[in-house]
Amino acid sequence: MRIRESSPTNPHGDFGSAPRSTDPNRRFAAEKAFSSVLVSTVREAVGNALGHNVLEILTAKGLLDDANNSKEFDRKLQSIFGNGAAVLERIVVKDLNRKLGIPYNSEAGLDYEKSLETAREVCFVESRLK
Amino acid sequence: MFRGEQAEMSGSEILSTLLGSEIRGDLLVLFHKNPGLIDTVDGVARRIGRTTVTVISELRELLELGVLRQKRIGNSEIVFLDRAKDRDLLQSVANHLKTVRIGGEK
Amino acid sequence: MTAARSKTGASGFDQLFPGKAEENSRVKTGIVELDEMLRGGFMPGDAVMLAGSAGTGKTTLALQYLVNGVKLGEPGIYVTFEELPDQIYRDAKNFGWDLRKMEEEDKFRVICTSPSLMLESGSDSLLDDVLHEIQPRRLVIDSLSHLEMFVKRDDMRIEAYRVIRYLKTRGISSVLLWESPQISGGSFSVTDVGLSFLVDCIVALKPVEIESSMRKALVILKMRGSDHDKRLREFEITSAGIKIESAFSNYEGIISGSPRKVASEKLMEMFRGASEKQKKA
Repeated sequence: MRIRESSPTNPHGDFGSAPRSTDPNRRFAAEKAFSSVLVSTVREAVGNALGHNVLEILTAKGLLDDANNSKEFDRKLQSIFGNGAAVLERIVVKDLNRKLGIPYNSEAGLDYEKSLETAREVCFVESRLK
Repeated sequence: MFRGEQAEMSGSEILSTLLGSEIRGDLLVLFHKNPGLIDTVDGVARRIGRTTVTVISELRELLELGVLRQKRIGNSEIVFLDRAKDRDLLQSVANHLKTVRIGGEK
Repeated sequence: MTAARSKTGASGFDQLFPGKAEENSRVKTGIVELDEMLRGGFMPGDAVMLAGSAGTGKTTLALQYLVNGVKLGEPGIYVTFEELPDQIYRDAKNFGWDLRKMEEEDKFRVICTSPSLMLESGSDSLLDDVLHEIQPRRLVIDSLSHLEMFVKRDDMRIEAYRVIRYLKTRGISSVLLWESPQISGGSFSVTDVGLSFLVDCIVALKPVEIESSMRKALVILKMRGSDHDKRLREFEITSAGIKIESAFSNYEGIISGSPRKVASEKLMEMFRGASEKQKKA
């Protein structure tokens, strides 16, 4: 098993090459934990950017139902906010990365789906190490 | 910088301005999380991890929209949230979003 | 028993700046035992210094004072110089205090600014808008120690005086936090920059080690124009805020940093006395 190496720019080491957990129960628990963090992060991002009235309206319209499906969530955000969707996604990713200790680069282009996948894997690795 | 006067904007236009850039998003989050924040442009830039140069034009947009206000204190220009205007603008955005169907159909 | 204030006021400040203070009403902290120690509460319009080392509960006590004031119909302002003030909202929520809701109701404001701006304005215009907006009766500054980092040592008293005067002329009862590295001895001087004489009341918080565990002590070191409880009382920070317990009546030397059981000392004296008697005999 590869020893986890970390650096200031990659504090969680080369998690990409760490073997995935084969324990389905552990994987399920980690997935659930990540889902919870992601949904709360999305809620905070929308609430902090546009206020709680807007958050409640979008929740009632089912936007948060797809928070865990990054592709569908991105599509819905685009339909509501147009170019503004990218700004909200950056706020989500920034906050999610901060919670998980992942560095965030504001200069780089944002791939929302990839960013969430990275965050998901970090969450799984962390849960395996506990 | 100055606080401009705006003709009535639609909810959609307000939304486009508020979410016009990542920095504007950061500023919104900063002032909504800390609505009592009063600081210079330099101070605000530092709080969101940016330089004054990158922040100043984005701040201007929010000042012109009226969600932020500016004032002179001693030798410094400070910015702060106009809570009432912020509430009004976000209410306009909320009213606009009530009419939007997710998927793009109105 | 409340000591009456002199006709011209108990202090020079009161003579020069009568403000809007009512003579016979006290500003309750809302913490029952503390209000008893204060013989009903702080004197209206007073500047109170809340001193203690880091982690002793100054912020919690100050917030509780403001939140309880809101419950009594007195709007309050919390002025902080912290970099991440949104943590204040989170910390308050842990005690069941919804500061954001109080702000929406225009009963409360958390103002976050930099010490240099506060000093530059002399607070004349920095706080004017918010004072006008919610007409507060109470205000907390967290902390004067932050201001000290931005002024020359000799200027600190002048700057502190300006802040205190600004608040007194508006009839606002203020609590000014001060981070004290240590409070020892019977001296009223809890700061090393001579601020003790500027304030009307000093409440000191101190961590104490007693029998290998860390406990917290509160004492009122000074209170102009009023009697007050002079005992050192234990307090704890509970899920609902500060709770004041009984006095450390079995210990002495707590302020000096060397607490010891009173009973054991007496016992030692008795033992020594008996021992000397035996020698003579």
